[in-house]
Amino acid sequence: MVVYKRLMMAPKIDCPEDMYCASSASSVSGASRNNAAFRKWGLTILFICLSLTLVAEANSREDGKLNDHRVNDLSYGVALYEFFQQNYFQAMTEILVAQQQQSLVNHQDDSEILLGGIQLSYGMDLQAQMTFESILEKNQLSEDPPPSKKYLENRARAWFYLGKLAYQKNNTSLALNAFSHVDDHLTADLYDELAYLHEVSVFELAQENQEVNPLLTLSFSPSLSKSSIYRYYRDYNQAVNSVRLSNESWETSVNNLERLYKAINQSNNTDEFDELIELRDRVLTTLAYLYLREGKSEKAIYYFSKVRQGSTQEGSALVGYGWASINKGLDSSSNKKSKQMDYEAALTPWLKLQSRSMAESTTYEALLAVPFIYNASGLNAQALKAYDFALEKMANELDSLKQLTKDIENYQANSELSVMLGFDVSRQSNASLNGRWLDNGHWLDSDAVFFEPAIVKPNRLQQHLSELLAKKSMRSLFGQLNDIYWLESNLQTWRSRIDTFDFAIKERQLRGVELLSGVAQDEFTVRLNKAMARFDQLSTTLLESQRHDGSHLLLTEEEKTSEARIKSALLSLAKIEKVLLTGDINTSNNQLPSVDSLKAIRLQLKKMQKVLYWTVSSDQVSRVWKKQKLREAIVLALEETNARVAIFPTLVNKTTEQTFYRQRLDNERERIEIQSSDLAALREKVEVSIVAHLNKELLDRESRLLRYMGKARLSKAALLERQLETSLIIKPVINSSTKAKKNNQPDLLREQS
Amino acid sequence: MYNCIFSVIPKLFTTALVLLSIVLFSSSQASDVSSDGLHNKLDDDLNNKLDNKQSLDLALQDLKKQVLALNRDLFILEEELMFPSNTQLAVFLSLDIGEFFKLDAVTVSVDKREVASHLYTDKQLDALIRGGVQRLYLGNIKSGEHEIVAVFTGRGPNDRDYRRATSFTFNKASDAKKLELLIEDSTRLYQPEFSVVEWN
Repeated sequence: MVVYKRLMMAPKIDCPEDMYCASSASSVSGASRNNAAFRKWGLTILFICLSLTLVAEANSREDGKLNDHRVNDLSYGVALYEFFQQNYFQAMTEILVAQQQQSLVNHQDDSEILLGGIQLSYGMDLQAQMTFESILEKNQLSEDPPPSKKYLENRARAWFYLGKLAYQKNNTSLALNAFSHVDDHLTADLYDELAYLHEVSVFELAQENQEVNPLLTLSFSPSLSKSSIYRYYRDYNQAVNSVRLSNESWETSVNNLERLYKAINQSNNTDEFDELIELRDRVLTTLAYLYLREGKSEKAIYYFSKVRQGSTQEGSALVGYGWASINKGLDSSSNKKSKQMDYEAALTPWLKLQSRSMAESTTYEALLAVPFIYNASGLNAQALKAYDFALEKMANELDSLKQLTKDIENYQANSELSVMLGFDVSRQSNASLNGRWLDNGHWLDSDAVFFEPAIVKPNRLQQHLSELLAKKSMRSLFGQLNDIYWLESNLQTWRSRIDTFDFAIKERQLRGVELLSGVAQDEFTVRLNKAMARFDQLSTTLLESQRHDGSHLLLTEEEKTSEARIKSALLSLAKIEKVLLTGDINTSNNQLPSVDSLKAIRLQLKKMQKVLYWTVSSDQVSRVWKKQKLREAIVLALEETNARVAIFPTLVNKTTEQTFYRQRLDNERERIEIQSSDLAALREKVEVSIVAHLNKELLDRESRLLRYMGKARLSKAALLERQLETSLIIKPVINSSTKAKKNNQPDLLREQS
Repeated sequence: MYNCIFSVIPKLFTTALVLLSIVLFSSSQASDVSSDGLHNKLDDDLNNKLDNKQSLDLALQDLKKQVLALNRDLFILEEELMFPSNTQLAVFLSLDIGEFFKLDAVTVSVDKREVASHLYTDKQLDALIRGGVQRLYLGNIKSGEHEIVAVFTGRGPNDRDYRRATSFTFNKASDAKKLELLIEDSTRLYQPEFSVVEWN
């Protein structure tokens, strides 16, 4: 990524070589602060570039409904949704799944470009290269039919990313070659980056004294936009490099840097505010050192004092500020008659520097510089105290470094490097480790003791190793470790999901076995046969109803009830008539109906019965038609049921096909295990490599600390020796009557006497 | 004599200090020297490690590729196994422009049964505005006619609370059913419009 390149370049070109020593530590510590954010930054920039590219076209059009940026493939839209949320792994998976299912009909090239871009930032540069090359292969220019705009745009983007990839791999010639193929079909939002990358590539080639092939120039002229952050980086790099190459260009470089400082101040680029103010601090520090080198201390102080507190440049700015303050009196522009060094002026910045973290080498310098100032000012007692203070602080630091070395060894044994490094990785717990915890969790068990968390504080370690963490090789190792943790976590998630699939398959298989037993099948067949028998019965009834005397078979339920009631009434009537005719009961009782009235009732009932039959027979045709329709529907339903029952054995087979899925599942499970073990092996290698780097860095720091301690002791000894010599000269002169003179002696001698 | 002794004491004291400093310094130098052997060994060790760095990088790239391929296959397997196409219903959500409506939440019901709901973060909303499509629900339904109802809540024109629902009746056949809940801005009405689009 370009930002990555920028971060790598910045310490290298921070300030002229003779000043580099003082500023390197803080610039590196700045990079270390950026270390954690490095990948994020890279990805964010890619995210911005790609998102702008992808959305640019959509935004350029407007319609009544403003709906032109809708994607034409849902799966591509889903990949974009994940991508825009920076879920890059998920986005890549979505694209791969869609490609496999061939569901990317309208966004094939777009998805490839997106995939290549994500691969590039996900550290899969080989894959990214292959992706971009395949796009270019597919997008071979042809005149017939003329290539579409989209087609040309994709081609330009693929060349651009290939060039960027080559630049990242430090293959500048190849990068320039790729950039020369980029034409003006490239989306405008990538112009700045292209112009910047092209310029720095040409510059780097020139630095290596290689001539740039004139054919490798850009086919069009993308100019850096005024507010682009790339412009500031370019200007800064150019100014610093030109002064580094030749001191004659000092004035031009300083003017350019001052102009750059003003431009950054006036910039309205709020999106990259943090990066801009960080760059501004760097510009200020460089400017100040340039002035200091030319003996213009006041100007240097002016710029040093503008560096923000807490910025990554603070340490080197404080060192420089101290020296500038000392030399202020010697300033060529100073009007003072007697030009002399003002040592005390450096005390304030350097005392402040002393209180900063011991992880920064500028702090060591301040620890030695403060007693030097006291000594130069004639305050020898303070100087000795300051040396003692420095030695004590350094001794403590030495102890802490040794402790850290020991802790790292312990961590190496525990394989819990991530904890020590304070990685913010939501890693699923390691299964084997958990197992051991559970099996041997008792605190007396040796294994439990073995897993006891160590005491080291990640922040402290990170502080100590800030310089190491800022190195490109280490950043790459930490990036790899982070990726491995994430991949392991991903595999762990799949492990549990596969268990769920396994459960589903088992359930389906159980159901299959149940069906295979035939019980369910027989039950369904018996029910179907019963239904068929009832249907046959109904068909017979329908046939009979179509006969002349069969209309009663077409009665509705209500009519059937009425007919039954009439018949029942007629029967009751017949019984009463019989009783009356036999004369068993006295009819003189007026409460019983007479024979005549019974006849009248019978007549009425018969009439009702006939009316009922007449209604049915008059509606017979319609009723028969409805019944036939119903019959046809039942025939269809029965046919369908028959068909379903017929495919029963097939269904059973299908269910038992779960064995096929089970086999796939087993295969995938095996793949997960293989990949997990590969990842574990790789993690171990990376961790061992990191530990080796850490150990070396700690040893380096120890050596450096010992050197500083040696210097402090030597200086202290020299100071004491000088005082001794002074005392030997002065002492014989001292007597009880020269009290006033005694008071004027250096503090230490006073104490000794 | 007395004076002479007194004049010698400071000298002796300082000499002792100097000697002590030299001894201390030389011991620190000695530890420097003793650490040199270890240093060289570590350097060699580190160089070997650095030689392997390239191969580590390549191995990791290869593993990433493999894990991605595995992820792809597992996703496909999951879909085939848990959401076969004859019963699959997938509901997506997309947003167009989003000037007249800022989506806060959505609830989806199929046949009066709530199947999905989602509260949106700014990041997710931004991803939708930029053209992303969210897979809101993936589930199974029987063949036949179904009704989907989506209720959207958020901030409407003039930053007022806004709650709208849209419903759609669809027929599920043997192929996977994909429905897209679409929120559009209508410049004609200065209102958001909610619709359901059926994908084939």
